[in-house]
Amino acid sequence: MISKSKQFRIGFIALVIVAIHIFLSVIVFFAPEQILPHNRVVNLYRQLVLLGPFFTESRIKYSHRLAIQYKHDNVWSQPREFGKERFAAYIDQPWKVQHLAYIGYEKMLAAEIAQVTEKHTMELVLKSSSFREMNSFLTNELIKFPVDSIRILYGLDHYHLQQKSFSFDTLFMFTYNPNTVGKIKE
Amino acid sequence: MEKLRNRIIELSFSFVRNFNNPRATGIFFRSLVLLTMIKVVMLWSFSQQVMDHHDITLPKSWFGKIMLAPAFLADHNISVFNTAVVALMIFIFFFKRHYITTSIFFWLALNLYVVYLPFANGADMLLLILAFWCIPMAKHPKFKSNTGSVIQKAAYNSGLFLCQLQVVIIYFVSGWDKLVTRSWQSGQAFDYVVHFNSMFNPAFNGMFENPTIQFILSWMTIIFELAFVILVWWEQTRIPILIIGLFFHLFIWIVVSLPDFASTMMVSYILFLKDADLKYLKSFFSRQQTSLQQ
Repeated sequence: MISKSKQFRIGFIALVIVAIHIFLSVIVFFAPEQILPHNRVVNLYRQLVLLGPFFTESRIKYSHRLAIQYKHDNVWSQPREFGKERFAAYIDQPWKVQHLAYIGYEKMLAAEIAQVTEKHTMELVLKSSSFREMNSFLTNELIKFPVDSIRILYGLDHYHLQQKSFSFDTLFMFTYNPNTVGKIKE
Repeated sequence: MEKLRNRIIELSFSFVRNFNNPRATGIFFRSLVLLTMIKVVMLWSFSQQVMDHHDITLPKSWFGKIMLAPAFLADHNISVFNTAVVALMIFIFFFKRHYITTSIFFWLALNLYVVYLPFANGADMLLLILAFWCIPMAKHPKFKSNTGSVIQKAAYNSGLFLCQLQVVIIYFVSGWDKLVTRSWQSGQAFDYVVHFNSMFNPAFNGMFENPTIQFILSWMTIIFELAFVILVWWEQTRIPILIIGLFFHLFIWIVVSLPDFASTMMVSYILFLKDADLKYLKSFFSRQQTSLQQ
């Protein structure tokens, strides 16, 4: 039989570990960024332990919007917003969560391309892995038939509370030949 | 001082006395495994589509390569990966909670996170961290030595507490952010949510446009999130706050179209149930069944 004092010591060690975890969480959450060292522990706590915050003002103020047009037999199609189409499909069939996953995927790719666009020329953007991935997904999974050109418009819809209206901030717009973009995966 | 000392002693012993709420913890773990399995099945075809165009980069270290080996299998053949994940999840679901099964579950959750990274959201991150804290929440193999058995209980109860704490931290971080944000204080944040493309369910159009309703809902959210942090630990308020939380997440699921985050949070509520609650629920339902039969 283990003695009471040994039991206490083991329990106390567990308590100390939990207390350190709480202490670190509080410090990383409240301490100004300039004071905190930039090491693995702090980054780990920021990314994994202090999950959130969700529905922050900066995120709910702007909605992403990606519109695609494609030229087939020398005729431009109507602009299509696949994200919007997928959301409508989810609302119709709420058990098909893959539609929401598509929206997340589209948002991630477009945001990455927007970041590349800020720093690089059009030529380099077309060579970037996120652009090649988006082109590959668009042509193989969404459009599904050969097209001569694609036009992509991406930006943020900003809702104005006072005017009760939206304005659109364009982040990038490209018209390109999908067949000239390199493959992402062989 | 004496009071604090006694409290520390009491808390220390609470980590080693017994496996805390083993039935509720078991149900939580199995529910988390089931939820992950459902997610894999629901996203099967979409993950296949994405993997045809997405490249996963290998980490440099050998440890990283071994840890993420299944993700690299997914990079080459996602169908084999998905099949293996579901098969292992079924095994984990039915097998007793062993350190091997809890570790495999975390390993799979980590790899799923990497594979789903192109379309991941907060729910995937939450699942990963909960799976991590689940590792010590195993009762098998039973340690034979007395010291080993006490250490096993301490690890188990710490894992359980850290899982609970994770849920509480999420509410605190979100609640605090809303509390100090002007648009949440004024209720205008709800106006943004209502006008957010690809999120707000159009079936509720016009229902939350009124500024007074937005103000009330905004403060209800802030108060709930911050109150949860405290009230879930008190015996008298634990069940009521969990019931309110269920409605809160149902609202998020239906109105704001976040089914995976809402379902993961709802499953995490099992962590706060006690075995006595489950016993009560069981007897309540059997009483109802008997009265229906009569």
